[in-house]
Amino acid sequence: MKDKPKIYNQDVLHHYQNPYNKGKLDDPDFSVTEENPNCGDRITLQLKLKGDEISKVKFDGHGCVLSIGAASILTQMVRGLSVGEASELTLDDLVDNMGNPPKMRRNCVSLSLDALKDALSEW
Amino acid sequence: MLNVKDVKRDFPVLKNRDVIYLDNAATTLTPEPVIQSLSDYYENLGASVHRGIYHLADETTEKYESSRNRVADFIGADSPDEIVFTKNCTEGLNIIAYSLHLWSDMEGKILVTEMDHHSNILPWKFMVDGSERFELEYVDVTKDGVLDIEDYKSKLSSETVAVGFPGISNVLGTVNPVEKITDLAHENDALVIMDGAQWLPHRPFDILEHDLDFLTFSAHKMLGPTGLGVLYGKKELLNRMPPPFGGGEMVLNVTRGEVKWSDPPQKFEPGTTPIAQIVAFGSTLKYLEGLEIAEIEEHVNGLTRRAVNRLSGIPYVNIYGPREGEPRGGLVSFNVEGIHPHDLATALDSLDNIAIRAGLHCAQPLHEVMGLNSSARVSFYVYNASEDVDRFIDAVKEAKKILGGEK
Ligand SMILES: Cc1ncc(COP(=O)(O)O)c(C=O)c1O
Repeated sequence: MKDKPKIYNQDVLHHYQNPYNKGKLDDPDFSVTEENPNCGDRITLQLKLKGDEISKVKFDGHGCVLSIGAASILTQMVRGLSVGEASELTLDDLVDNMGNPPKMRRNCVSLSLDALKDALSEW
Repeated sequence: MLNVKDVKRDFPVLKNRDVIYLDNAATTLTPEPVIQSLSDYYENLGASVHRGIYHLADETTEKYESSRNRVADFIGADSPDEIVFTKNCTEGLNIIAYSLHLWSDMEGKILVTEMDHHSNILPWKFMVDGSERFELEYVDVTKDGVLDIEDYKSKLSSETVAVGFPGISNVLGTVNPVEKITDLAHENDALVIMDGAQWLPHRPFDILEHDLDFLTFSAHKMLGPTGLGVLYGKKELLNRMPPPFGGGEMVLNVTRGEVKWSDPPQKFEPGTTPIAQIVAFGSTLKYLEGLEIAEIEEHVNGLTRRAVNRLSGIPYVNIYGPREGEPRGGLVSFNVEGIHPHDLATALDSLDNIAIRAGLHCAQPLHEVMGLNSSARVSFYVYNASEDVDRFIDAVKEAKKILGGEK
């Protein structure tokens, strides 16, 4: 086999294999589930606020390296942010933290971000 | 025996791109003679068919209609008038559903199967939703991935208007018993519609032998141009069916109050059709016949058997579809334990430029029945060699090493 680029960025793979903030919150202020009907991936994102600051965040669900990896990375990015700051996060911000995953797979990456946006829009 | 080395040389994409293309059930690559035929139309022909009163139009029309004749011969139809050119297989199935809907004395049950592609489910769903005349039912698929004939028999009745099924399932690879399905339907005076998208590229087919009422397929899945499909319908049915779309070239006589349709097939081909593609499809069939369909079938079967055998030998791979030894079209769907099919597809692409399909393959109801969120699929055609299968297998093992098990 030829010497080809790594399948995924090692960080992303690490996040997938050892995800941060995986599980459920006891009494979340927001809990939103997003599903990708193309592949059956499903992510539930839960947030707990203190004032307007995101004090706790967890995700649960199943999916591919990119959807799980992105969810793990995203939960790290948003903890401690204000609702305003978190609302301004874009797909590019997330992608930048993931070593440029394949363009065809951006809807895997955006699953948890969509859940975040949905949750914050209820605020 | 197909000489893959020679065949490969006919496909410019395989020279221009470093790819092992194993997504042939989705769409196929294009050989030089078909590309030539497309450019020949744009360079040397080019006129509205059936309309222009000049030499160029005459010549174009002749080529165009000779493609229709070739299609008729290819499937063994009685007459080219039974061949309607469509946009793709999907459009053909939609035309049938809408037309039966418009046929005012039709009412009753439509039967499709759990293994149908969305394109043979959704047109019927649109037809029955909100309708008081029609109902839709699904024939079960067994655990072994074949059609449950007993269930089919029990759902068939004098109420059944039409039965739709895929000749070959695009997920399971199951080769359905066309004759049995057709005979049982006809005993109940139901019309039979075969989605031939996965059959026509790979296996000889004789429409009269099977006595189907309708058959649909796509040119782009059998080395032909995109944007073109075929709907075969028995002449007496096409004669009686109301056309679902209106436009130029499909009427004999239009006054403000009254319309008289053209005869089939023009009745179902309103507006300007994809002329270049239709002309080039004639060359496509010539190319396929040059390779011989029976040879193609044997070649693809060999590759598929090899893939099934080798995948079965890997303990962490699960294969779907008919058991070994049962007939199977040129595809294998499977999952690698602990690896999401999308990740597997990305991995094979990155590791060795191997193109496979991952997801639901437009067959969500079937995945539900199989209890799967998604699957990966390899599918073969004339330019694939056994070495491609081996490289695919190596890459699967490599991907498993790198992506490992799920946490
Ligand atoms: C079994 C089957 N039916 C129908 C289709 C639809 O073909 P098209 O998209 O060319 O209309 C496909 C291809 O995806 C298929 O595999």
